[in-house]
Amino acid sequence: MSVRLAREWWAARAPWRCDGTESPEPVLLAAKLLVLFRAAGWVGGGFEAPFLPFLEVLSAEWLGPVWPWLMAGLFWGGAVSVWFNVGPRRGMAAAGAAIISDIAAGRTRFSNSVLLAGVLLLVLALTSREERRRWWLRGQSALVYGGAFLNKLLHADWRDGRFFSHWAGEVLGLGWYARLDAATSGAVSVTAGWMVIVGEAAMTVLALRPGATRAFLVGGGCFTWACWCLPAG
Amino acid sequence: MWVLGAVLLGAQAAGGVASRFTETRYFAWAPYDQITEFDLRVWVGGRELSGMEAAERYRLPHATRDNRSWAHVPAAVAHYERTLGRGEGARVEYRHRINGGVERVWRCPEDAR
Repeated sequence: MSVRLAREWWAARAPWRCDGTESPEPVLLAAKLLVLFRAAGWVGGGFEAPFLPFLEVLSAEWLGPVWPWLMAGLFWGGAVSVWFNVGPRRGMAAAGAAIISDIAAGRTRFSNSVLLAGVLLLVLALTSREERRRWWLRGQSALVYGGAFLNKLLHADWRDGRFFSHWAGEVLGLGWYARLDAATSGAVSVTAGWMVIVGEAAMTVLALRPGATRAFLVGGGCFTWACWCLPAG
Repeated sequence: MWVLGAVLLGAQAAGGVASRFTETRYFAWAPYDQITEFDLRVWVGGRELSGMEAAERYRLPHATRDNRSWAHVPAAVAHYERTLGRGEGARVEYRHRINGGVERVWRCPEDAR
């Protein structure tokens, strides 16, 4: 009897199961993967005491020794909840809160990708089965792409091609790109810069249209693919 | 739920707006928007720190290429010097080029005010 109960318990809690919880299946799968990737990044590293925190209150001396334990408890507790389907929404909130709190505790730890993992976990925690339109997730995606779009649009180096000619020609050292850019008097870099700006603006709009989810995902995939392909040169 | 979500997204939108009034881009979703090549030199008590000592002091690389705002390193240096390093009289020189442009120099304490 107890063996059967244990088997049933495990069948519901197995990390590869994404059904039967308060979270929609795709949301829980995304959270499991996010937590897994973030956890992999911390293996061997872990959390450190606050250093040059964004919030001065976190520089309190007594907090230094307890902070790594506090954050590790919050994150790993949340991670286990998410992986083993034990109150996964609370787990997502805990893991996301740990990631964001740790960034708040260290100016030099700031990273857009880590911050994105943190806020995405919080947004996924807000997403219930009843919330079918996924407005929180859409809003978050629009903020990320919209922010990237605005920052590039307002940066002269993105509009006049300097960013691309420096990045592809000098940083990546793509000889063919530098020659092509020179042959077109820099038109290739100007076009590439504007393509990214327009692409991110389009992604912002698509993120906010419930009927355009597939286009948004394809667009995001193309963006990522292009980012991987160009450096491979 | 609505309140939590609104606060979460609203705070990020506010971060984006606030970033337009400063050179830092911490919470503005500005990934890879500028490439900064920099070299950090630090003097404490008249002695120039080695690259490793400077990197340990601020927990930052002392010379590298970064794909975030040029102002993030000066922000960390200024923060350190007005808190943990206060009274040590450190002098810092941060030479940097944005997107391969002309070299500029940020100095602490002069430019940190």
